[in-house]
Amino acid sequence: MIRLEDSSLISQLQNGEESAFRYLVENYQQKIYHTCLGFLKNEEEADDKAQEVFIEIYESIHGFRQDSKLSTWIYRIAVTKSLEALRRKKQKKRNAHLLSYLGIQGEAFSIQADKFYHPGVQLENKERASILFKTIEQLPENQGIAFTLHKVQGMSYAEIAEIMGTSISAVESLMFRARKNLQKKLRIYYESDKT
Amino acid sequence: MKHKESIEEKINRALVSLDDIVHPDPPEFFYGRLKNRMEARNTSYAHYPWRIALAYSSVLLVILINSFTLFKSYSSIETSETAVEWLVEEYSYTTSIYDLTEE
Repeated sequence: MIRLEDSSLISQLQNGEESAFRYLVENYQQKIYHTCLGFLKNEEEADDKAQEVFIEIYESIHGFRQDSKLSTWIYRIAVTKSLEALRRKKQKKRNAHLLSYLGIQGEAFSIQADKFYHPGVQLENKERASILFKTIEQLPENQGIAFTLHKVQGMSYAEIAEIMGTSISAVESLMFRARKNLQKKLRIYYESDKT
Repeated sequence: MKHKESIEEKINRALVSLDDIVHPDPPEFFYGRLKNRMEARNTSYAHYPWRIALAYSSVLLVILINSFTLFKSYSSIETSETAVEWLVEEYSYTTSIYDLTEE
């Protein structure tokens, strides 16, 4: 496949060329799906959210000012949409708990979703990774974003800094604090888990 | 001590469990499903100009309705002024009441 330069691709997208849009989707679908999967921890939701990301790109491309790389902009949309979905999910969970506390039978909420086995993790690490994903959820949001983009998506600190709109040193700091927090929480988990 | 070391080992192994993670492909026919979804939302390439035309038409229609309403209001003011003049003319007396009683 011939690689299109960003500026050429953007221009073709803004002209509404379907071949350009298809090229964009085929080149980014795996990356965006994986990014959403890292945050949402559910394959169906990640697929759905990844589609929403491309729809957003299609609808907003005319407003893209090219003050960042195209890939940075795309990842920003993916992270934003994933976080919005996570917040809605958490709110739903809180509402469900409140309803059950009040004795009102609300919408059934699956607890099964708490255990997530990432399809890309090696078999011998699946259980440990599942525990780690659960622990990442407890991090402050920015630490969770930085850690997920680095460890799950394999991005460099520079790439993460661009996406988060911050400096590399800020990302380093987030990662340091994320690791410390994860160690603390994992210690509590393993000390209470006598199995 | 052995138990504590074991916990440290578990923590470290958990922290590196995502190393060598493989990026899975999204479910099959991603582009086809995406396109179907976009067409269902009426955001296809063919429909996009139609939405712009509809937006402009709606604005123009609102302007026309407002203009018509303003015009009608102005016309009714003129009409009421004309009506007042007619009434004055119709009921104005050219002779005094004393003339009528004089026989």
